[in-house]
Amino acid sequence: MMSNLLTAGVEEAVLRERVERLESENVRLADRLAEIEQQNVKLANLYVSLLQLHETLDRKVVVRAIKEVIVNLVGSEKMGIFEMTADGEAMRLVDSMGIDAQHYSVIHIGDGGLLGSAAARGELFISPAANDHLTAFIPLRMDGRIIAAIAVFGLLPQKGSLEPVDFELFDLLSTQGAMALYCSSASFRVGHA
Amino acid sequence: MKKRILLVDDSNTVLLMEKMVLDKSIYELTTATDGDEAVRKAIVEQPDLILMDVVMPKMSGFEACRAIRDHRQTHDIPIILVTTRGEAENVEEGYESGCSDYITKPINGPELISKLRYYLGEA
Repeated sequence: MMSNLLTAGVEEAVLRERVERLESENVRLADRLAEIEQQNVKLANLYVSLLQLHETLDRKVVVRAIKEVIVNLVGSEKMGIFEMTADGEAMRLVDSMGIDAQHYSVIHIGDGGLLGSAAARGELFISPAANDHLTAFIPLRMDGRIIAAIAVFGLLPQKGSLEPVDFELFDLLSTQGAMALYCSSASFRVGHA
Repeated sequence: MKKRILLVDDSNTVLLMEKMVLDKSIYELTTATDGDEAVRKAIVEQPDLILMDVVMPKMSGFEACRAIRDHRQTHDIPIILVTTRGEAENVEEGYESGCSDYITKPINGPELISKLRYYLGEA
């Protein structure tokens, strides 16, 4: 009887250890699943953005697609989309959301203001804090020159700060957004020639 | 049998993103682009869950939610509102309109999937 009790005790210990191992593995797999799901969302964001930018040559639709990416995927309802003037001296507002369009209608490059200075530098600018003045400046480039830009002024309250996927979206907008805008503008010019 | 989800948003970007994130081997997805269409499709298709934007043309998500709740055939369908408006008063209005749950944009994929599993069960 003593040996039966000992055997039962050993078996229980083995089973307990196995359960602990399985629980630990379960937690690890759940964490890994969450990582994969997040990665999936990130890839979905990038793919959807690319699709939306390039599925049309209608300039208005391209601009709307850029706005939708910023609103729904990045998380901001305060932005301006600018196009560079022919002389390269200024940026003209072509569409906006949640900002004073009159105030931002023309930005002179290097005018000393936050936006003008960012435009003069011609590089991606990310504010150290997500403030209303300028959260991000995203230059859109074709053949090495800036043809347009997106300025983001503040994030939605529930979005604390920009995340790694947002920077990847900015990279995508910087190149593919530029190409989509350029092609849609070229298409417009050809159509109306 | 696949669970049916009605996705409602006037943004094609959001609809595409939701369709990409949600596993089509588990869910059957249909879409609507405004509140009016959402109410009609909810009555006709009887989805297992509705994922609905708030700010939309013709009829807002809040109004559509009330209409869906008022209809006998759709009264019990879980409705998750998806919106940029995360302020307390908007959340409160969402629940007052009859929504079952609320998530804010930009959508957190794992959070969305977790809520779907809660309302529709595991696959």
